[in-house]
Amino acid sequence: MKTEKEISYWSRALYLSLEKNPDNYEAIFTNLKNSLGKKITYLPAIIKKAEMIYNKEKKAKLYLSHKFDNAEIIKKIKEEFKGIDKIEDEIDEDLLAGFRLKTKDILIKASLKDTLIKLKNKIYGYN
Amino acid sequence: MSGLEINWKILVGQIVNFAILFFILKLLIYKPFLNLLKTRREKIEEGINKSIEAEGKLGELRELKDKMERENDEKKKEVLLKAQEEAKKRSEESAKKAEEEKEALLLKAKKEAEEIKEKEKEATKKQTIENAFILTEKLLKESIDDKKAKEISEDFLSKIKA
Repeated sequence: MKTEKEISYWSRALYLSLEKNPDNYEAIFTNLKNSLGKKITYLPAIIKKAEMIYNKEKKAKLYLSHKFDNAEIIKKIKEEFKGIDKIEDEIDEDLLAGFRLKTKDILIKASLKDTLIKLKNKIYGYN
Repeated sequence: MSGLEINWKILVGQIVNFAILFFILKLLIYKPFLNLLKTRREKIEEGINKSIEAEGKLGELRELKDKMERENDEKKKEVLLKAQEEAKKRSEESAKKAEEEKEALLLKAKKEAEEIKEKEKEATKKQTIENAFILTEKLLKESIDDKKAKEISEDFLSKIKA
């Protein structure tokens, strides 16, 4: 088995274990070290890869038109979209108002800019 | 009257001689001569008859010739008339074809003009829409502050269901 592929399998296993039992992280890491044996040198790469998977799976990006206190909105989004743990926000003035939410799987367009684009496409008969 | 006496013997001899001569002449000259005349007359009559017959045939031929000439004239007239009609027909067809082509060209030109007009209209419409949207975006950008933006974001969020 190639090293890269092996690291990928270990990191996926680590991610799933931590997701299932986040409180037992110490035991999980001990088990992992024991399982790796001589391949303990892979550990930093495995942790890094697991972090990447976490970012990919659990992180979402929120684009807002203005800079305002968005804590309430982020809270509501987390409530609405299960599985999102971390939300990074970014300002995109072109949105005019509203937001865009980009997750691993979906892109939610909830801005005035998107509403205008939708309206324009409807006028042109593209939809 | 010894010098003027009739010598019966000589007279009878002369008569017999004359009769013999007459008989011989009749047999040898008169009959062939008559036959010759008869043959000649017949030939002349035949010639005259043939001449009359030829005259008749000539008349018939002349009539036939006249008839043929008349027929030829009629045929010529007919052919000429037919040719004139054909020429007229072709001329009419050419005129009709030219008219049709002219109409088709006009129609095509009209269609193209309409298409151009429609395209221009469409382009103007598109430009107007684009301008309207640019203006709307500008106005919205200027009129929406942070507070309003937050309200709008919350409003959008309330309408979204995962």
